[in-house]
Amino acid sequence: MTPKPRMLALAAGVALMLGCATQAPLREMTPGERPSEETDEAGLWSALDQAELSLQRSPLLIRDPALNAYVKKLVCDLAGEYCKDIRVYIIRRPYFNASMAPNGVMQVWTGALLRSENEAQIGFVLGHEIGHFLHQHSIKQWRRTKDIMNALSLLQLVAARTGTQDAYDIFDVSQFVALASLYKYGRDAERESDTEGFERAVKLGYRADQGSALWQGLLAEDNARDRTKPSGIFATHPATEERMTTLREAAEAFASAGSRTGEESFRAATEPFFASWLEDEMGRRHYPQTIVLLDRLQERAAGVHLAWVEYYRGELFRKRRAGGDDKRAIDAYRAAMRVPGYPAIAHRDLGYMYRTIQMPAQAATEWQEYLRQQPDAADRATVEHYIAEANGAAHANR
Amino acid sequence: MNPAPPTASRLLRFLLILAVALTLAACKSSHVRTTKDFKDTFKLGGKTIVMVEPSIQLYEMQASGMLEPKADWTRKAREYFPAAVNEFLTKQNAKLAPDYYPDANMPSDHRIRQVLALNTAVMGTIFQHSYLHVPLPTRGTKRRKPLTWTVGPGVQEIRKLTGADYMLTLQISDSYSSKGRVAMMVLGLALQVAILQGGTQGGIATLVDLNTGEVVWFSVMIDQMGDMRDREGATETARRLLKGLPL
Repeated sequence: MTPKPRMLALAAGVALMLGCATQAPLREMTPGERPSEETDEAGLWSALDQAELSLQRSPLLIRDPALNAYVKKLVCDLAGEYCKDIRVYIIRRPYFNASMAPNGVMQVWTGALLRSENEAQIGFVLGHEIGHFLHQHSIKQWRRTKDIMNALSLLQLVAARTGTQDAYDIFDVSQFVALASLYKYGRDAERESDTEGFERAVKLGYRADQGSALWQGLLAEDNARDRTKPSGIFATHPATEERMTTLREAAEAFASAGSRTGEESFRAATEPFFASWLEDEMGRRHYPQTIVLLDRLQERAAGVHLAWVEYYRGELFRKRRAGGDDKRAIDAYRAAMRVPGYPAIAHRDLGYMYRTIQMPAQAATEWQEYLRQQPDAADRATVEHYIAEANGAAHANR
Repeated sequence: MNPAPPTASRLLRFLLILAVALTLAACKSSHVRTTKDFKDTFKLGGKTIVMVEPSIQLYEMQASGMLEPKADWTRKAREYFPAAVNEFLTKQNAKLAPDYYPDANMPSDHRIRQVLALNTAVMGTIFQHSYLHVPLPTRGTKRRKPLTWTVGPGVQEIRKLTGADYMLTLQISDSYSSKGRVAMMVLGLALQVAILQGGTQGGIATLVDLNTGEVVWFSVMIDQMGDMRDREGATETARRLLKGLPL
């Protein structure tokens, strides 16, 4: 018995199932509309509405009214008449990401805000998410996933019954092709949203080249990635180089478009969070990427931001301690201290660096300066203990 | 590869039939565990109970086994089930305060919402450690032990609001096989390759002392036959989930 013809017929049958799987028509998406209750989309919404309640309780939610108002207004400008259908949640996570659920829940992660240099760039990201919403990508993807999983389950049963190696091979191949088609669909949706976000931002008079400028920065970070750690976002999104090129070409076509970058308003809105977002970024411990990010931030940083960038550079080297990092850390802390208004903790942490490399006298000097500048420091007792310890050690060394 | 020799084939058929029989048997019984296992002296003795908004979500199981949330079924179940619970408790002569549903506009960081969220988390923990017996270093390895879970005195906020002595919380998740799933289950049996599970109903209930926050009773129900899409099914579900309540 040769199983081949039967297997081929089976494979053809599955291909047919995938091809003509019923796709219910999409909604018109008039503003303010909810899907009608008997639909699969309404089911997703009802479950997502529950999830939204949990999101509202999340300790990761940034509740600062000013920042929320700022991002929400940007979303409204970009979304136009769909503004009231979208609810924005700013999530304290240091990765570059934003997401859009079909019921109108938009999440913007602080890692995306930290990496955007101006309103035009974050506007491009928000416009992209609005694109997902308007093109109803989630429900399309859900329906495709359902169809593919159903077809694969059937194929699996038949393959199990046939029990031949050929059948299992065909199942494996079909599974691979089907799942790959899901990813491909996802990437196509990303492209469609890129275009939507780009057009919406340009229409508001933002500079057309800022989308590609943002991707350029992200690509530089991704290239510095430790290959043993997973990429943040690039698995499910178009290869960044391609994406950047597409955006740059689109921008060149629009060269005569607006000149707005909104750098000042963006800076004013995000300024109070700059240090805490950098602190979170350090927590990722993807140091080569963080160095690329710090370099990029340093180019534009002014005033006390510059001190924070240098301070966190010092923190990074002090924590990483690769060859030569000890000296780099000391230099970075010192560079921070040359900026007027620098944070007093630079002295404390430089003190810790000196302690690590067993230079107790220098450590004690830094700690004393820290306590002089910040007499009410919460960790005063700890630091005093270290000063006493260092003085003892310095004495013993003499 | 050749087809399986006849003896192996016969054995496989026998095993499949056995498995079907066992599955059907399992369908008929729900698994209810209550604190009676742990602590049988407890009685409510005419104290007032308030039911807080139950968490209910219904799904349709797709041919592949994926669960799709269903809005219309869920809405109906959210109407029928609380009514059925009230009916059941009234028949048992329980003293009831009016059901408590937090105002939809109550902000998520409101004390009441926080306490209810904590209660939900505690229910999940009890399910894991007192029902599934996932070991917890602080709780020792003995399976039968008194319920020692508490939501803490924060629950007094709910007592002040409702006047009740005990709070009844219910969580139900329920799925039903689509036609495609039923076809797949039949096909799996017909081809003698797989026994596929259909939709399943799961529910957890706890009773919390609104003075101390102590969880005094809990019940778990897992059922292949339950159906909350109509009133009769909701009544039956309420009966199964609450039958051990120490009224």
